[in-house]
Amino acid sequence: MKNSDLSDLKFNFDKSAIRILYYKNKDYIVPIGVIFASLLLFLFVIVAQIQDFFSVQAEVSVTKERISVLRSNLDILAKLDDSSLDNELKLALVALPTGKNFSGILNAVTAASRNANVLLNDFSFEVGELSSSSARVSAQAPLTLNLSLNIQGGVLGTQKLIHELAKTMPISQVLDVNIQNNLSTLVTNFYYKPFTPIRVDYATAILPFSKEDTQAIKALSSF
Amino acid sequence: MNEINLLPHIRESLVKSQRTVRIIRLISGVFLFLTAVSSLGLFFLNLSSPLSSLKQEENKLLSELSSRKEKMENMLVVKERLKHISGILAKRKNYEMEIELITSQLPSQVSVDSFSANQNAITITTSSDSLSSLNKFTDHLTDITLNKKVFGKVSFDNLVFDGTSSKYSLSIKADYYEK
Repeated sequence: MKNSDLSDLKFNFDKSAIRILYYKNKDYIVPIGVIFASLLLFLFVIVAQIQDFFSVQAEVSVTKERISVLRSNLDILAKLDDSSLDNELKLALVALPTGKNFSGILNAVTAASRNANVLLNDFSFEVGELSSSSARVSAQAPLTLNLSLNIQGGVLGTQKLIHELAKTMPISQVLDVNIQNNLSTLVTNFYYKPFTPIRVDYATAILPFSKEDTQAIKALSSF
Repeated sequence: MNEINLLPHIRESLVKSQRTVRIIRLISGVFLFLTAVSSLGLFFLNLSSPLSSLKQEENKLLSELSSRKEKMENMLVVKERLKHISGILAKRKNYEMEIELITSQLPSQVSVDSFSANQNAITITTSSDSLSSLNKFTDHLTDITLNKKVFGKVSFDNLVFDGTSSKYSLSIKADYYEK
């Protein structure tokens, strides 16, 4: 057959032809249509439903975990006594103040020298920056205020003063001790720590006071 | 009267075609059934999920916690401060105990002329008119070092005899034991 003959050939797909085709293959068309529709439903509806089901299950599991954390946090807070927490906060802020607490340090040194029965000669602070906003915000570790103490007291007097200083607040650490006959010099660091903003996230588990925390509170209370 | 099939091949193809139709119908029925059952099953499974009740419970707990926000903040501040305080208390050198350790067994004839201590070592200068008393004192320091209580190394800086006061002066440096 030539190409020109093919172009002349016309398919006449009118309604009656379709009807004839349908009636002739009706027994196959309907079930195959159902299978096709079922497959389409499976692909576009059931697969989506399965995905939904798994995502809902995952969210249920996450929500359950979050609820468990929230309950635990609530339980810990409920068990905490308000007044003792206030006292512990005051104690912690006196022991590790938020700034350079000069008067607190002087009181501590005076009380320690009085209790140790040694005579305080003179002292000098290494002040550093008085108000540094960058230091205030970025400080993660405690900062120190260096104090040089000159006292009249031999080995025993110095020993007593060190003992008393270890029991005073703000907390301090003796760095250097120099004793020459009856004159001693103590170089001491007093600690402070600026406030760092605390972000309260209820869904993050808070732990109750640990053994170390309790020991620290006990130690501070005995000062 | 016996019937004679004059078109046996047509009858065979008809039976074959009917069997194929039956199989296709059966498959389509199974497909339809499975689709309907799984769709309904998943719908009810999703419907019966406890998510909404869990969300309600979560919101309730969050509102209870937000009423205790200040308490939570205070607790976090205390915990943060205590962490640093514990660290400082744990690492600070106990000079008091070290002075006590050195001077506790100081022979009566030995006196301490000077004492200095820093984060690494202690230097002590003692004097006595008796060399044996100084010897006792060094024995004591040696014991401490051997037991690795505090010091890891003890060295003599100098031993001087002062003719005018008839006293021996001994300088010792003791380095802390490094754990």
